[in-house]
Amino acid sequence: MIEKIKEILANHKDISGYKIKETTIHSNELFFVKKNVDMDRAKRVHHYNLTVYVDFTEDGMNYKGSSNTDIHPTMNDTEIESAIRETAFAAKFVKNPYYPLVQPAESQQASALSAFAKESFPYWMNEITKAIYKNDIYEKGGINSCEIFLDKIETRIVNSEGVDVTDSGYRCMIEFITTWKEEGEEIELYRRIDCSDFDEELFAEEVKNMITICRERAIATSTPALKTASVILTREAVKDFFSYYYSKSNAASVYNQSSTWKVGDQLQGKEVKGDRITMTLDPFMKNSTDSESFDSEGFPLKPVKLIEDGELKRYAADTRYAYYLGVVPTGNIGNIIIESGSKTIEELKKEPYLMTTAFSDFTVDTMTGDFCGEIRLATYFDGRTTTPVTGGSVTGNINELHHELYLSRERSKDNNFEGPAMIMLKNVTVAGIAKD
Amino acid sequence: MDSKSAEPGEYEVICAPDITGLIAHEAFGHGVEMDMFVKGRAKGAEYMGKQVSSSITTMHDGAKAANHVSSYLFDDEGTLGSDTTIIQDGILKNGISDLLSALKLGTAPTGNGKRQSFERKAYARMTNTFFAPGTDSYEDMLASIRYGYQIEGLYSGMEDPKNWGIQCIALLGREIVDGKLTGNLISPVVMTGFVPELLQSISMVSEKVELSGGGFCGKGYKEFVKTSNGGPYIKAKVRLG
Repeated sequence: MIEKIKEILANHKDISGYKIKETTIHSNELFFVKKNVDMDRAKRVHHYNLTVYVDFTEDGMNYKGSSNTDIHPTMNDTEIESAIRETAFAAKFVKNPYYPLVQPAESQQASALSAFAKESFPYWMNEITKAIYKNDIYEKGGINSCEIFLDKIETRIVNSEGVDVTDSGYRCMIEFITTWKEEGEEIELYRRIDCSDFDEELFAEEVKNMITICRERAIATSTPALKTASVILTREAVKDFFSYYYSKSNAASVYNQSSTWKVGDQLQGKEVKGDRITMTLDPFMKNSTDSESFDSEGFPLKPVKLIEDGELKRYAADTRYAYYLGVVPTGNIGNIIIESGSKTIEELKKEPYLMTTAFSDFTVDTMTGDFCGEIRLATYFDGRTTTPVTGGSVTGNINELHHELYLSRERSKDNNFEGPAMIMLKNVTVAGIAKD
Repeated sequence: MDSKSAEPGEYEVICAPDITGLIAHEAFGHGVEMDMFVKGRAKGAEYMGKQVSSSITTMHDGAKAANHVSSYLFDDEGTLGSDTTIIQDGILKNGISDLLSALKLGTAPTGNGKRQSFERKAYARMTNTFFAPGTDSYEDMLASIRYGYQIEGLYSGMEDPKNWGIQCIALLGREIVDGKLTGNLISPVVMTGFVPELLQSISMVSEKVELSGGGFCGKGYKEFVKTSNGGPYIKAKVRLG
């Protein structure tokens, strides 16, 4: 199909360049209610996505227009010709300043081999199911429902400059709801695990953790009206917190003026009381669904350090935005590594704190730095006793708080993120719901 | 740019139609998707025929209920779209279902079987979800508030169908003092609470319904489909953070 598309593209002299992305997805899916299979599905789909580029000049300015379309495997030559003609026509209306397309590289580093490659899908669906339900052993709680998706994804990217790269990987997504019932209402919580490799311990432990969190929520009291507190973020919220630094250090954000960060900036201010942030992007992180040899443009990837001791060292930039800003491209890399901090978790917990375990949805506005979330479960330590609490919310702004943040020495990993297990922030606004 | 942080606490607020829609969507939209009933994940199943909201509130969902982004003749399973009254005068009346959940529950499918694409399974999903109009004027609603905020600008929301928590994040709160907008702003606005308390607190409902929305409603964090939400201006008592 790719050769056929290329042949038809060759007849379009108005097209300056193209990129074809071929994706094959082979998938098995299982849907459980309690411990019973409610539905099973399997699919094998084949996608061709074509982007065409049209260079043109207007009022002395050089532009590169682009537009993309899906070329379906069943389309005949006439249909493909028609799709290309319409896409090229649309591209002429897109006035992006000129940028070059990715050029072929001499070599690319291969992604790590997943255990999922060693056995069949039915074998792994069975193993994943066993691991997920291994700790579903309690009388008062357990898994309410669960969905398991295992995909094998093969990707090939071809462009008009001679790029022709292929990669394959696995994407496992497990979504489950855990419940617990004490005397009052039954409590439930949601969890999603994404990974690219089989990790029995991760699956089993995470279910156990979520059941424990449900049990804690079932006996939790109302969050006190603290107004402000030292808040310790844990689990998914830690990863979400650093999405701000990831977004702000991206060249596209800088070019689009949603980030004012400049290379050399002391991001946490000149007087930092706590830990300074060091952030690296690693395209070859183990067991991450974002690990890949090349980005969506076919640019070969390698690890790159963006922030060191709180100072922005360089931007993350794909070929287009690197050209716009006049910096060296890194390609788009989705895996984030944050260095550990100076304190152990035990040291972080020496003073009064509110430690969040589960939010309805922890939200970070990657443009303003505002963050917030409704507390589904937290632990409050008033200096003497520790109490599980629920309800209310935490809000704050990263720019106003990161001059004094503390990162735990202990680490955690969640798919495409590896970093400190906990972050302590001072003077975070807490809207509690307790009446006293 | 001139906005300040909200002082945490309970306030009387006027929700603009986009926030009214967000409340409808998160509070009793996801909570009446009847595949949740099958899994025992929806508290709403226990409240059918019971009062869950102020008696001046009525809520609808349906492909046929409004002319917006989720209007269609039939759903992704071939069931004709409909107009489902979810809450009638404060009483929870009906849920919304795909074929399988209706089959399992012994109810009639409501034309809410939707899938993200041909590659995905169909689930019970919302379409156009909104509170019906009331009889109050916006001016009267504003004049009735001694100190509070007008909340507007939808940012995000999250459902909790089992435990009836609600999280709505809005871009802006406009301060109201003695029935007038002062020009002072708070941002962002995090509105949280217990769904029945919030809905029971609705004391005024304006006359005109507005819908908005272009998609990106997920089931959890996946299965994104097009939905619209809306309603009139409503006056309620909420907790802001």
